[in-house]
Amino acid sequence: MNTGLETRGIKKYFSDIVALDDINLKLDKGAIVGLLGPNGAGKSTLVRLLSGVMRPTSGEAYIYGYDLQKNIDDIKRITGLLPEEHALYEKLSVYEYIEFIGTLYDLDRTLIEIKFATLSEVLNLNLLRDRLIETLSKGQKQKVAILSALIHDPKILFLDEPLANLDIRAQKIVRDLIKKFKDESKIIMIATHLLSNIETICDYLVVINRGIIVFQGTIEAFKGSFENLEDAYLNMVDLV
Amino acid sequence: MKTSHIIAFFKSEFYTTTVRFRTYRKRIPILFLIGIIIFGYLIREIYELLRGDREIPVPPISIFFSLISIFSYFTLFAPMLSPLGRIVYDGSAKARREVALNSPVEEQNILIGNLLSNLTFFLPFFVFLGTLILSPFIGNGNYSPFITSLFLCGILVLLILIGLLLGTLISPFIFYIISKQRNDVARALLIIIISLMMVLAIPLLHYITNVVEKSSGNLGILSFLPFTLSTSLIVFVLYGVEVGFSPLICILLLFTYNLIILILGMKFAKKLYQLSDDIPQKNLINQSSKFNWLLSNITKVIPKYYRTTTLSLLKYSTRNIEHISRLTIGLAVAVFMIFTFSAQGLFRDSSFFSGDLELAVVFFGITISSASVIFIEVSSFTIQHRDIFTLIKSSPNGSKRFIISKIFQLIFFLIPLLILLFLGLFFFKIMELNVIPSLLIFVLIFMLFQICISLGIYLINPSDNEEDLTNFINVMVFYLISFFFSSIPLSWVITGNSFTFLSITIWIGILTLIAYFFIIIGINSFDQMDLETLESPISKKIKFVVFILIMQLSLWNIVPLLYITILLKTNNLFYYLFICYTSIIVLNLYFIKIRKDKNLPNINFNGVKQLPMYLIALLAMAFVLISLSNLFPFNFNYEGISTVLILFNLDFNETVILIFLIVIAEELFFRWYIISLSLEYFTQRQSILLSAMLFSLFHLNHPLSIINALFAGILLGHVRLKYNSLFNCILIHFIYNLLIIYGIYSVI
Repeated sequence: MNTGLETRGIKKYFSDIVALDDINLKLDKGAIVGLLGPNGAGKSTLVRLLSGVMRPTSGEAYIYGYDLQKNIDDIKRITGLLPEEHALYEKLSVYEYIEFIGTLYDLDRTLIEIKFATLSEVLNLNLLRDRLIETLSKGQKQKVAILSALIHDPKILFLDEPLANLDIRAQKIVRDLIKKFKDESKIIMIATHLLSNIETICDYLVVINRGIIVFQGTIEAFKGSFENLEDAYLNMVDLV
Repeated sequence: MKTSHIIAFFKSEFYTTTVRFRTYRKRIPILFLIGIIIFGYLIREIYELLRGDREIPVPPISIFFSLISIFSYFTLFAPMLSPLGRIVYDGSAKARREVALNSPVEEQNILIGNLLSNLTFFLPFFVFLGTLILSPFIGNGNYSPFITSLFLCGILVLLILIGLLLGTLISPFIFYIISKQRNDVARALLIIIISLMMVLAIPLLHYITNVVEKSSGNLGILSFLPFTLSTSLIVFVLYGVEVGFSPLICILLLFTYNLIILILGMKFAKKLYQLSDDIPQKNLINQSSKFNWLLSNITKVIPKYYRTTTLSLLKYSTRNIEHISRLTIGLAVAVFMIFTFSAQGLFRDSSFFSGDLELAVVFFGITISSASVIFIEVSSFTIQHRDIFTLIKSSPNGSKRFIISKIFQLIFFLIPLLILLFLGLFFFKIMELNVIPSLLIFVLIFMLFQICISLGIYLINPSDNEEDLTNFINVMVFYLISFFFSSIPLSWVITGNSFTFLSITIWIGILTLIAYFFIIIGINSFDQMDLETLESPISKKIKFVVFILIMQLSLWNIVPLLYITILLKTNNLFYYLFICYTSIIVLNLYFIKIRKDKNLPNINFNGVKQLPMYLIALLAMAFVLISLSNLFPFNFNYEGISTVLILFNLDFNETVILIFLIVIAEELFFRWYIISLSLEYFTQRQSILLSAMLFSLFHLNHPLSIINALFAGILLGHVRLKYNSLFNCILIHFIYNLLIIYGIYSVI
């Protein structure tokens, strides 16, 4: 029973446009999964479906034993999501914003305070605690967003383009943080179209193109006979 | 000057405004114009009918002049603010402007493109509105009503053009403030300007009334103002009285105003658009400030589950100067309403004011002003919170918690407005102290109702942008509901009733139910909303039902109204009804044809053999209901229309022809059009039920007739879907009606 996430035939239509078609995924606990695909392949849609923001048109999914159709609130409780665009209230200070998000996950104030202290230390945000978010730089905002996704200690963490807009140092911090977060009981899923991130962080790979999964397996299996990831990826995406 | 640049800029502006109506947008200006002409014509005809041959007495010219000048005053300033508002509230306007300024497009062309897009969107709207407001006065002057309306349109165009030109010209300044990263300041500025204009209007009204009364037509320096110029013109066109300058000079001066502004704009276009950017300022939050302490203490009355989220939303909105400025507009509207309509304001000499009426008027004034604040706040819901939608929806039970916190936030937001208003009411001796507490409770309950309603409407029909057509529709619906319910106490008192405990309890009970209903649907809609398109299944269904209701209303009620003059002039009912139903059939066929799949009704003979069975079922139902009808104290009207036919002595042949047309029209609309459309949103059974319910709504003349229509609707809907043929439905329906009519004729 090491499977943390399993989907069977998930489909999602936007009126008559097929966003996801027959998604069958099986992910083990403890994995850092890279969700790779070109722009508009359905990465964000899949991430949103699995974190409970959207409902699938049809199909089943089980996340840590919870049924996506029935126990949607339980699933929301154990998942954390970093959306692609900055999801922040510009007129709140960093701490006030984290408090708001923490409350949405029913954490009490003292717990939020403790979690904030430890996480902001790691992300180097503690000096910005009382700054208005609108005055932060893009990279700093991304760090706040990451912090807010981690505040309720989720079992599955969905990161949609986590390294976008970050400077090199911040990228390293986030990468280290993701590795730190790696735990035998947790799953991290990173949706990205940047290959360089995948190789350094992930140990499992899902490639999606035009709403269809074209590959899932380890990085080694993906590379196969090709010299590097890029060639393998281009070969795979072009074939479809 | 390069036309292609102007067109490009015009298109980008126009398309942004109508983004949610992509499919129709090329037709919008034409539809708009046609709508205006038809509607204006209808209103005129109805007014003429109502008035008959009676002479309307000429009002005292000084009061009439001052009233019209207030009308002109707002007709001048509203268009001025519209382009500004669009820029301030359109999120991507800044980026578009930067791209445009970086391209080799000349500033003059940008200006003209902007101007044209503002003209297509706002000019017809304001001219239409103005002519409509003035229409009751048409027909008293030297010219025919038609010529008078044309004149009025022309005058209004000249006046509104000044406003629109000014608005387009000032817009770069607003852009300048936005480019300094102070979007909120720009918005606040705009709202404060609106508030000032409203408050200024009251003394101006008094002053103009006095001047006109004393000087007998000589206005002095005042007559040079654009809005007094157009007032002079309007008064001349309506009543043939000259106040101020002569009409020709007025027109000339209005033209000159337009020309000067346009020339100035073209000359300074370069300077207008070249304003430099600044760096945003840094800002630290003091957690232990007194204000934060106050906020966290007053929110302790909120249930714990919603407390922190409400507090966050409150902090967020109080730090935004734009939100605070919205309170000023609420205050301005309230002051305007109360001082204009209360016993302490314009009507201070009138004897008809009683305690109850005063209370009702003040209540009406406050609720309508709070409606403005609430709607401006709610209409920016997407803009304010869109970024955060994903996170809210990904948290457990987040939608409900967020929407309810939003309601609490809005309540707290309105409290300062209430306090200020009630202090004003007390200090200016508008209300007795003992009435104020009960009024306060009244207003609080109504505000809560308005908050729930507006949020519900908004979440069912969300818009990307505050200043687009979607929100325009939302605001109309919201004001309609708000006006309706807040005018109930007023009409109560006017009709001579006093407030009783029971009547107030029933009124509040109904409000609570409606508010609850709206908020539940709103939360559901938000929960299922697709964040890219801002649509949810439930909102699609509701919008579809509303759309069908409007279609039904316009087809069966407005189309017959269009031909009412034919009936009145020829006095031939058969001829009239024949034209009505033929055009309804033609319109139905057109509506069916313009659908995507262009699925014209099938006429096949499948299952004709089974039809007698359905016919027998229908007749059996009618028989049961007719027998039951003896239990009722009044006669059973089979169908409104057949009773009418018999009442008006149409002969049997004419009746049969009409019945045939009616049946075709009804089957086309209820069975083909509605069912085919609703299959896109509902299951087969639901679609049949929906069309049957609408069909029974159409037969509101007797309780049994409603039941009969519901049954017939379900049966015919079933036949339509089973055999996919319109012919069968028409056949059964026609034979059934024929039998009933024959029965009625033979009885007579």
